[in-house]
Amino acid sequence: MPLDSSVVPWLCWALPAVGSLVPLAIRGGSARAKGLPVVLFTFVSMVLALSLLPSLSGSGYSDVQAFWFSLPGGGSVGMGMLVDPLSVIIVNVVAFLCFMIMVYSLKYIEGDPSAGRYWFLMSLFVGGMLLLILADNLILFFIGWKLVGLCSYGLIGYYYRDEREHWIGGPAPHPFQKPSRAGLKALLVTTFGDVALLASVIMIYIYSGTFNFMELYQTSTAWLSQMAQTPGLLAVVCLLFVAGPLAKSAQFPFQEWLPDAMAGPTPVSALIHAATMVKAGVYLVARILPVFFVAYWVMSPGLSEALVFFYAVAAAGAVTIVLGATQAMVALELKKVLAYSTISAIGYMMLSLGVSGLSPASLVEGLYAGIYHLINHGVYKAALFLCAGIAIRASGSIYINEMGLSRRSMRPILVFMVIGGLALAGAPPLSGFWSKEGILMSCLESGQYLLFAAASVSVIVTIFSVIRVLGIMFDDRQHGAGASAAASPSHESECHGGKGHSGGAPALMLLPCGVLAALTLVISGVGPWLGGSLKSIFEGYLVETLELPLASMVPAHALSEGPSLSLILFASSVVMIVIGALPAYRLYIQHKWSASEILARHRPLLVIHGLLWGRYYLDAIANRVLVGWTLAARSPIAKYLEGTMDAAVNVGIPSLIGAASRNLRRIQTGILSVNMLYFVAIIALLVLLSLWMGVP
Amino acid sequence: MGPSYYLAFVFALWAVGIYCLATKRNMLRMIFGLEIMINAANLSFISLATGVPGFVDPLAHSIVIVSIGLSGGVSAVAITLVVYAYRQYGTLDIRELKRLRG
Amino acid sequence: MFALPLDLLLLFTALSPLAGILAARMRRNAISGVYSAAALAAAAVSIYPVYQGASAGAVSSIVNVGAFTSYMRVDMLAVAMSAVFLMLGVAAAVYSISYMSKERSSPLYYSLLLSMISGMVGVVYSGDLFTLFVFWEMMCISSYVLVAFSRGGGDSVEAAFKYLVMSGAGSATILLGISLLYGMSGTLSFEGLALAFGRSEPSLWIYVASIVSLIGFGVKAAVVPLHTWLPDAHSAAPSPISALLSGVVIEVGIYALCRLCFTAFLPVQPQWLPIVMVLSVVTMVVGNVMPLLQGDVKRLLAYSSIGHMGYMLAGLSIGTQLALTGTFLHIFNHALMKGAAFLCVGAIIYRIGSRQIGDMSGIARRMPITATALAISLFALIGMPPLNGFISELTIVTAAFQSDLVWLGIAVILNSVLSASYYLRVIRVMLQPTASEAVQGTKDAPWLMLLPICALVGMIVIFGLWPDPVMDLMQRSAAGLITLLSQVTG
Repeated sequence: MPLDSSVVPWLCWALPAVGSLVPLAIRGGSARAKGLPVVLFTFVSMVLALSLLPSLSGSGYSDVQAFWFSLPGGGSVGMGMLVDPLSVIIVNVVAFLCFMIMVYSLKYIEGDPSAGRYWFLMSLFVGGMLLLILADNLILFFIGWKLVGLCSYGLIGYYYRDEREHWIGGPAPHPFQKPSRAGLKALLVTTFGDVALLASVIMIYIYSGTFNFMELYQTSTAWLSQMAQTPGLLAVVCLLFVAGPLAKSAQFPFQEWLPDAMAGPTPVSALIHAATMVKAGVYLVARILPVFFVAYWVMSPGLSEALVFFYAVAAAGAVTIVLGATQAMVALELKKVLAYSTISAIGYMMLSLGVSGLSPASLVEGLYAGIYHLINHGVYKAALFLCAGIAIRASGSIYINEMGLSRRSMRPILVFMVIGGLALAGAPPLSGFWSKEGILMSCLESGQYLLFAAASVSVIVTIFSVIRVLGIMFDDRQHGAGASAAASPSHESECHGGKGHSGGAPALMLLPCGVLAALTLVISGVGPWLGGSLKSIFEGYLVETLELPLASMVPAHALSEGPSLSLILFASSVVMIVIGALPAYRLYIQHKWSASEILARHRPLLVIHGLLWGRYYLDAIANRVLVGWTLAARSPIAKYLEGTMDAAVNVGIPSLIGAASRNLRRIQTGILSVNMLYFVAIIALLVLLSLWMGVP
Repeated sequence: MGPSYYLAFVFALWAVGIYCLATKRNMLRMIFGLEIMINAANLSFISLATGVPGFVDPLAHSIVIVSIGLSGGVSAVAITLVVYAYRQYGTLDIRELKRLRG
Repeated sequence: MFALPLDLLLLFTALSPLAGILAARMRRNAISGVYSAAALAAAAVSIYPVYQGASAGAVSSIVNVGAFTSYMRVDMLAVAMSAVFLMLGVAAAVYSISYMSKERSSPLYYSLLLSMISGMVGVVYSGDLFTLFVFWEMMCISSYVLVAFSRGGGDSVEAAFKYLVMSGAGSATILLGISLLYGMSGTLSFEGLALAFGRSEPSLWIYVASIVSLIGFGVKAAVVPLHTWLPDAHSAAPSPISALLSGVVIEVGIYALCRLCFTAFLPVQPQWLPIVMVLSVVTMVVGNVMPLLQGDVKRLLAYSSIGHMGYMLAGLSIGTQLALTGTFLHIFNHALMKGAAFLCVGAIIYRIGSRQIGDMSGIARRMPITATALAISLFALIGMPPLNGFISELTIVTAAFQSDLVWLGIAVILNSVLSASYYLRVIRVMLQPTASEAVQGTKDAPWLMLLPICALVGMIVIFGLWPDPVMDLMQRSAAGLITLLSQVTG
């Protein structure tokens, strides 16, 4: 069916968004009957997204404006869909992953009495996510942004009845978390960022007069120079703007909501908290990045305040990489390990985008590597999460040390998880390796050696934790969940044993895992080529479409020393991976060493372990300060502030106006003669008014 | 006599109509007051129809004829309402019709 | 003969007694109702070719009947206004089928309804003041009778008589004003008036004419203190008629003032507009303070119409294109909002038989659709985004700020805050958990009543989210109105 190409992006997000009502409308059907239409809509979205791919070959962008909101007084907001390489690539990744995870959900959510809610939220989420990617202006973007946030809230707290089996955290001596609280936490933390983002968007609008991404870029020199006339303003705008993506993508200092968000169903964790929503922040940074790049590098004189944007993004990314990677080393919950590694991986993307603006030489490298990592991470992390869902079902436990999965009967899962895990760790030649190389390269090219060091050292930690998780999970020495529960009586595994049925996973759940793992392998195989073509696409986009004078800005020698640099980088990466992999292999695969003994012998290690287990105490501090103090302020505020305001506003003004109304109502006498007197009165009044105004 | 005298008379007539509406208690008299006001306007049209000496604009006269017809319609409706009001309130005094107030 | 929609309306009005006879023969009052709804719908559809004509340029047609020459001028403003009238007219007619089904004399009611709407459409299509006046009287006389057309008598006769006397005095004053304009210019067509006065120096008589016309049209537009008929008439009339009176009839007064302001009163604008501005603020304040303690829900809505007329007058008094866009947009939106509110209230009264707010407690559980629709329309009347009332009030306020009339903009904002206090009271009562005696055992309104209500509420939401088509139409209307003089002179 020939479709007008301008309709495709609209349909792409509108179908799942509107289709989300279908599962609600189906009454009494089974969970699968409610899910099938959603899967269908997501499939159509994926096909539509695929049909946008050919636009990658041509340069330029298309901005399909459908209608306008003209604000009174001249301003207007165009509602349109922006189709350029960035959005096309990400929309394809998202639509594809959504479809895969929806197929998986068909089986996963089967038999759940409130599946209608699940499908509604999932479908609405997909619609919102595609909307925010395709939106051509900040308003529409923000609508999608909040929509995914709300759906995420609903889905994290999907088990809002807080049954014991859905608690996360622990094990026993350690505190547990309830899903409803986790959902609220995610909503609150991301909303902090959203408010900051909105404030910054409004400030940008005041100066630029447009919300449109492309117009923002095209008029950037004008409005940026106006904004720069107020010292410090641009820096504030940058910081506020960055807060939104950082909160959404669970970056430092907002990273604490993501581990708790694992309280939701596993497909939700896979879709929202690994593959798509947390990438929205990366997407926004990539989308707005050229504007701030222009501010510092192209404009003359460059606005040094614009560098705040890149430094903030890069620093937050680097800190998060270390935080996430280290915490993943000690976590016991399978999904939390994956969550920490997600935080860390998104840290890599942020770092990459951040350093891309720190020097013209690294712009293309950083941008492409960040997006490339986003693609790779989405695919393998979704595979890992989906496998984790199967593993948790099979073992009936959320803790890796209680799983004790058999390597033989769970062979497909083992294979998929090894592929995904190694890709995650960036082991050559798997997909994660290629993109991570690009990120490290861009750090080097921009001359940020400290950031480079943080990023590359984290590789050691990441490979360690991946091998640890796999080793402990597939520990053949004990068989089945029961055995592990007996071995560690302190863990209350029975509370997670509600749906434990070991053995082969259903085909409908295995299939998406297999497809994603296979795709990881495919990307690994064509890795350098894919990276190269992505790089050329973005180079073409930046140079030809956005007309950045990159060629004149990048010194020639920076390009010439490429090959030798990449060789050194390759070597160092391999060394890092070996350093990380060896001890892990000895500890968890061969069981030559015992982790607990080593910990017991070295006190500093124990302290570090405690620190990591306690999540650097960031969460506790934030809880104490933000939540505790707010709660403590309740009674004084109620007493002094609200009491006074109540007296003034809720009693004073109403009685005043009420009295005015009572008196004024007397003019409606109900007597016609009086009404006619008013007639005479207004004539007199108008004549007097005219005379007073100097009418002859 | 120039038109300005007529106009003065027109406004006087209009004022009489308003005065009638504001002071008379009898509903029928109020309808008369209304008619007086309309006739003031009609008179104004007629008196202003001879802007050019020696030429009388037929437009004004046709307007006045239509207007008289319309005022007849208004009066008819008004008198119907008076009849109904008399049936319900048992009086023609407008000041007794004060259920609607506030 | 005239413009197509008007021809159709007049034809259907003239033929409506035949439908009435048929209805009486077959003892089915619904026949008249369906007939009038279909007639209005047909007229509404026939606006489209006229709209196309008006997009190209104003359509004028001259009709000669003997010595009396009437002159039609259909520009974008006329098209937009007539579309509003017919839209609400169709809704009210459909609603009436159910609402008036128990009324024996309803065929007469539908004839009057048709003639009132024909009169309104005629007013906006008129190209000269006297044609305007004739249609004006057609509208007025029909509405006098319609106000009296209520079950229970009593109040409605009293309200109708008061309405008739005040409106009649207003009409006489309008005629006086028209005669003065005629005396000064020798013509009554808007183009002629614009040519005659547009670039002339203001004389004493034009001041007199402007004051006289302001009073005359001000009675209809419920300018305080000429508003006293409005709460009586609008609350006593049958609910669909209340919807029409509040939603469109009083706006015709604003329309006429806007027309005159940019034709005959062009020279006196600097003095005339500030006077209107003062009156607009007084009007909106009175209109929003009076209903605060009101116990009768229809009177409450009627008073709030006065408040909204104040907003529209404020838009007129600013006098820029943006402000007039806001005024016309508010006419459109107010027709939707107040129409929907009156129809909902009518449905509730139809079920519980009381107009007191206190008797409506707990209605939200018994009549959920009606109560939801009423709540949405009340929120829109407050001016809450993203409903349509917000857009037009925002436009007016923005226009005020742009013209450096900050106090006027703030007055509009404060008034809409004030208005929230009585609208929300209604909503609060509806939501109360305990049902009053009258409410117990009621069920939701008949579907023929819900249909127009839901259509109007749907439009409230749609045009709140996507105001652009209407905004664009009203912008072109305002532009056409303001540039009338330059169109004539070329």
